[in-house]
Amino acid sequence: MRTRFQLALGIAVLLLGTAVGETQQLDAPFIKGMIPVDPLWNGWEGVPAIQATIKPQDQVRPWHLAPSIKGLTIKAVHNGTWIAFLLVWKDATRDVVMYLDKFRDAVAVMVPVKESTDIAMGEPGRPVLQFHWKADWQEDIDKTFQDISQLYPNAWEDWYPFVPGEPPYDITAWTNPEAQRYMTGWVLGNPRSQPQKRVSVEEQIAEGPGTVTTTPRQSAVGKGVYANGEWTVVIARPFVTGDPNDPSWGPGEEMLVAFAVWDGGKGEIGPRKGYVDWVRMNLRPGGG
Amino acid sequence: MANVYNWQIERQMEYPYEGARPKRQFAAVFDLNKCIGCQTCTMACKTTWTVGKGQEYMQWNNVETKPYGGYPMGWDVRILEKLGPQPWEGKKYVGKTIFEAAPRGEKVLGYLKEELDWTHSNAGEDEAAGTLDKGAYFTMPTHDMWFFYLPRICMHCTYPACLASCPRQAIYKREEDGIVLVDQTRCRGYRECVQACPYGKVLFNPVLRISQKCIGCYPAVEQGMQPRCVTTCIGKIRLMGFLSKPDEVKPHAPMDFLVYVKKVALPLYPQVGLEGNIYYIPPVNVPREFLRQMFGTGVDQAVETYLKGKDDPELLGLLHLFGDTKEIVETFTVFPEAREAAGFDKKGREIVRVPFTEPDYLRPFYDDARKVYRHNIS
Ligand code: SF4
Ligand code: SF4
Ligand code: SF4
Repeated sequence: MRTRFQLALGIAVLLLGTAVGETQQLDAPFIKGMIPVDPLWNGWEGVPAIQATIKPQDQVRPWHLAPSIKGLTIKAVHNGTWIAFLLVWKDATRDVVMYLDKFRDAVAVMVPVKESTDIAMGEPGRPVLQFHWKADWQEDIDKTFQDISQLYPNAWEDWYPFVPGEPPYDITAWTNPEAQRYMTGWVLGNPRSQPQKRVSVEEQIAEGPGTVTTTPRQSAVGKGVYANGEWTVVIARPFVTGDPNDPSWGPGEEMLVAFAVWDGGKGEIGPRKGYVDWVRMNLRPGGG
Repeated sequence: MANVYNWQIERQMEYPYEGARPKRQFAAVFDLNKCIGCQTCTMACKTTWTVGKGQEYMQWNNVETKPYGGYPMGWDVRILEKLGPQPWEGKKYVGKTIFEAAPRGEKVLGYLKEELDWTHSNAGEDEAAGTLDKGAYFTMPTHDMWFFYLPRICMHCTYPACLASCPRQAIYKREEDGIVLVDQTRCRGYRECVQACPYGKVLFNPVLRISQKCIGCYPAVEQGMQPRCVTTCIGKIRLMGFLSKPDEVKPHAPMDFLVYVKKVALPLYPQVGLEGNIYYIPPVNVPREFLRQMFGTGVDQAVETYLKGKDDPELLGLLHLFGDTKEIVETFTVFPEAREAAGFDKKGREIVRVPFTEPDYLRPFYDDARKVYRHNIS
């Protein structure tokens, strides 16, 4: 059964007689000046937080009944034109690359584009926007593109056709279009495969499970740091970007927002995730 | 879950999507009696398709030594073990397929192959692990000791597990030829397909961070040409063609003749339920129990038919067309009198004609025209 947030919970609760958990309230205060994209910004300390419980993804196969991450600390601020979320969670391993049998850590913020919609990635005609931070993209940016030399330092390959230079033929040597033909995802524009990443957050739109699509306009930014067994990630985005699918949000508004988190080291990716059900976010007046 | 008909197990089975057979189905027959394990096919595919970054370990075509070898390691043993007992009643499989045996909340019974599983593409498979100091090393004709090479590519299944498992529908089966492809723009590297394919034929590219697999050499197939791994095969063990729907058999189409009419070419592990489209002529020297587990209940008939092949001009003739043309043989004809077989393309044009017996040529030891000595003068 898919759950859908309903503004009028009351009647349904009375009729069914079930204990529906209180929807959590997230206060997003107004701040002056630049929006903080730094997870270690000291201003975050004064921002009210909620501790959200992680639910197992059991709505779309494959299910994930025992998520590895147990809780997510969530904060949000806005400066009138931008909104930023701070997401903190405990994770024993820092998983920042994709090996053949390992995945990377990630976290995402999801908002309905217009009216309330299905928690399972929206529904046809009622899309959601998602801002998806990925630890491997962060690593690509902070260090260098996670190429074979980084993934498998002892690997040796004599030759790749049409690639000039010498081993290890790092990705920067792959300038020849003939050589690039072997790099399908890269030349076809799949954001995952791009050797030059500018942001660690991918902005996506979805109208139901399996429909997640990278939006043509990418406006979200972010940064994640790992220390003491904990990820601290900021995801930020302007309220208005000019995109027809901008959510109707801004100072003084009240809206829904949901979250998901993945522990790559424990096989979590795609639908194998834990999520935070709809949270009601109050964007305090100011700035606008 | 929909119900679809899988002719290889002679029953309806559960599948996440409605069954829709493509207009034509890419298929191939591999004669395991002739494979010499030379890996030319592997190299042909490798040099054509997988010389990019992140593909270093990939073999879309691989050749493993049975019974012990495997790429990814233990792929067959692992999935058979997970599946449990696999009973047949006559020609009908009454055990569970990997779709029917999927754990609660999963679409397919599978497992994520570990990194080390991919690192031993037939390296060391043919070497003894210790000293053999007892008994005869070879006895004939009982074949006490046996092994065979198993060349494998993606089966371009009628009911692909990779396609069924993808939460994003990033894998599709082409209507025009049944070739199964991973959309390189839609794939997000979840690797559900890598877990789901019981044959271990989807591989993850850790640099591009998306999954990749055999593409059936579709650019060649679209031009009426057979795939690289087929045309380069040194042992001439392979023939690629199109397999008709099971109720529309065309006896003069090579695949239909070998699979449906003569039943000499069999599916690989049909009990997993994918209706794979690479068919194998079983090796005659291998214990039947092993073969039955691997190729299903048709093994005895297939081996008998094959062994009598020398007296069956049609079968003998068609087997001679293996590895003799780069073009796709749509239909074939045998001329028993002339002891020749001919293959024809889509338009009915003759593209190849071969004699059952190659004529002998005796060439002089010294070739005056080329000023060279011949070492092999047969
Ligand atoms: S063999 Fe595996 S990869 Fe190929 S179509 Fe079948 S399930 Fe998919
Ligand atoms: S059909 Fe083509 S892509 Fe597939 S294994 Fe053979 S050579 Fe490789
Ligand atoms: S090229 Fe042919 S004979 Fe050689 S290993 Fe491949 S299938 Fe076997």
